[in-house]
Amino acid sequence: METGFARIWQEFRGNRLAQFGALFVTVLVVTVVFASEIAPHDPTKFHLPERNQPPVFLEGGDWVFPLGTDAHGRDVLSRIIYGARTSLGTAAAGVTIAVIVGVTLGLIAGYFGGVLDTLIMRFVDILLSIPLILLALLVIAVLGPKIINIILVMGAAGWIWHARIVRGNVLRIREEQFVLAAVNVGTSHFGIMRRHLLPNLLAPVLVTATMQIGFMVILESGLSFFGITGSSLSWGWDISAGRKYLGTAWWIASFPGFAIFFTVLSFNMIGDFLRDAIDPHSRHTPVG
Amino acid sequence: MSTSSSKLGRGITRRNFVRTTGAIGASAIASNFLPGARSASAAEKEFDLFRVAMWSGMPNLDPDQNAIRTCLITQNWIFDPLVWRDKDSNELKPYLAEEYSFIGKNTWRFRIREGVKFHNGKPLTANSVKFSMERRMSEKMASPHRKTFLDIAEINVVNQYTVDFVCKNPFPMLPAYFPIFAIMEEGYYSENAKEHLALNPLGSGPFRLTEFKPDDILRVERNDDYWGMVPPIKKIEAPVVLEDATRVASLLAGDLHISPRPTIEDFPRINASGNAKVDVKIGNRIVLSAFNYAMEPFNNKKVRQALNYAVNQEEINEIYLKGSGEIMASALPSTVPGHHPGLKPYPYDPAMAKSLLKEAGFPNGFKTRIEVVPPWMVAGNEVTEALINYLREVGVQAEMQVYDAGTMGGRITSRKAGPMYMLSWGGNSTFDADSYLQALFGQGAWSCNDMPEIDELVAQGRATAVHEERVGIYQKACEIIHDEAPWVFLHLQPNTYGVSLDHDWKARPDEMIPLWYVNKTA
Repeated sequence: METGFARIWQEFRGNRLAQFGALFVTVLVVTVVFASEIAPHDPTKFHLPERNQPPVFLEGGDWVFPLGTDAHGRDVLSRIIYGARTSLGTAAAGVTIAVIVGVTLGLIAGYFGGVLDTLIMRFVDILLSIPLILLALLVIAVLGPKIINIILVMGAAGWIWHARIVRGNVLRIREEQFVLAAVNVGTSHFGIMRRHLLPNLLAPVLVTATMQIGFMVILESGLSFFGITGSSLSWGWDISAGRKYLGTAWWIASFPGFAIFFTVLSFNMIGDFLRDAIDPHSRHTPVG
Repeated sequence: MSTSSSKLGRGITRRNFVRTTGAIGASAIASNFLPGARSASAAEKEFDLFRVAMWSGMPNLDPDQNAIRTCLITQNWIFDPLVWRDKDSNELKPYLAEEYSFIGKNTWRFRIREGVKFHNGKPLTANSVKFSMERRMSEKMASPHRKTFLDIAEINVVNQYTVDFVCKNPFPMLPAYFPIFAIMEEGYYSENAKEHLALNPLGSGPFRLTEFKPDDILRVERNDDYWGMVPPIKKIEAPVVLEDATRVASLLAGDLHISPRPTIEDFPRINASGNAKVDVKIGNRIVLSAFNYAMEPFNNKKVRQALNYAVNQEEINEIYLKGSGEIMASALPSTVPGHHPGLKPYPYDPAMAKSLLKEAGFPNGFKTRIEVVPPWMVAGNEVTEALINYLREVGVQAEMQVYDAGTMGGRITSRKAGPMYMLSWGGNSTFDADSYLQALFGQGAWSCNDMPEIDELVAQGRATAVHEERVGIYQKACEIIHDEAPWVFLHLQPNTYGVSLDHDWKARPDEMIPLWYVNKTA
């Protein structure tokens, strides 16, 4: 992997899907950061005379509300821009926790093995068998509908993705010559993990984390669709509120839906690309 | 078939009529009947299957295990009440009871129709009525209707078909509560377990149970031995369809004959469809946003009044209900005697709201929470969001919290809801002030406020049988409620339905959907 970044860049230049994903995510991140500068309107401001106004490309639409307005005359575009903060922010925060917990526990399980490994991995098996949406509903029912609780659920349930990947890789890497050498010269466990194992785990974790963001965006949207995330400014909520207008004002629910679709698609395409680029063999592995 | 109003011909059953046609043939009532019931042409005008969607869950069909509107509607197909509201005049009319009257000494006497049979073949008598009310009042049953009837001291069976309700006071609104009082068969309802009865209702009504899957679908079929007019509908299906858009789509696709509570934005689409139309009737269901007095800062009257000045009721009605509602100044809607026409709704005055908040010690507003079950009201989501928007304009930051009906009901009846919560109330179809004031204030089952003065007035209202006196008492209550502002007063919402064009059912003020008198018109 000496020429890692150069080679990945080379691959990236030839991969249209990955380019699209990266472009979309970049735009998304910029809008999340500069939402207040970019959004044409206050997303919570009512414009009652213009309620349910169609988007600009339909009859009755205008550039004041490019994607139309909802049942209160709120600007759909501005709501999508601010909604990205909730949806993407929650997902990113949840994945961060998941990565930290997952990598730590995966390292411990893989490196030390034995009882610790058994304990951690059986716990992973148990968590794997609980539907995530059910777990989320349970936590919300007990702790209350707050964004912080959603993030905690994502972290508490999402770490198993990373733990499994990390453990598998650690099992492999720890038998490599350079690790055995480090052990022989008396490097501490912590030192081995930090200096020899972690850098080699970066790539696989990056792949799972990228994929997981898309997954968590869908989870957040699902929960906010039910109105139980404590935020009424998110994509899922707008779909939920707009769904009864599908026959009369389809844009209220549809545009946030497109936002979710393209966001998840983009993260998945980037994840796919990274997996292929980082591990060139996987691509050529025959299926089945 | 032109017997559509035959059930108005109280005092005779179909069979009795056929037997005695000659004797009473000249009476005006009897002229509504067409003897020879079901001719060949009538059979063509029958519905093999009639489908009515329910907009909210139907968990239980034991009349004493729920007080949910969708259940009240469907139970009424299976059970007969003593009295009933006329479909045209909305007046209280005898039904199972052939006649009823207040005979003095705090006693109401009901004379029951003879020859009525339950679906299991057992006869319906005065004893059935006594059993049903005792069940409703029993502590063990814990019926949600129990509190309402605690002023009944004893129930006496005078003879096989006459029953007396002896009350602790004149209880003048007792009959008004009876359209949703289901008469049950003593043997069946005392022998079976609660769990069985919840799923297997058995009454004497125009339809009998075929299949009931809670919160999913109810199927009933015609009771061919019915004492009254045998309905032109052979079978009814009532699926629970929670999605507003789906109910409208099903109606337009011809899958539903009655589709309650369509989205108001869909009205033009339904009317233009060519196979359905919208039917709207102002009724008894009020919409409000209540304060929990036990939670800061709503123990402060100035805060409660301020929020009423902050909200533009008129605009909510105009925008989200397309003007189909009626804005309210106090607890009672204009359709209920005791309504106070002299009270004017709080005007929309944000400046006044801000100055009241300042006086109350909240110059910069405060944070609070509004709990809501959106399907409980027309445009529930939109109305709540609009309310929050008005509050924000005077500095009150309210966060919206969506609950399901079961949880929310429990939060209110255990007085934990709030600090603010949205509620709609149909007064159990009584059109009597007692059903609003008794339940929603003071010690009432659905109250989170602290208004002993209203409890007192409710007791006074039950203590007099003089209508004018009662109206005076309730108007006084309305004045107090207007001033104390235990709610943000909103509006009286209309009962709205999308109906297919092949029958003649019409929206009713009492929110019920009785179907025995529906005729096929196309």
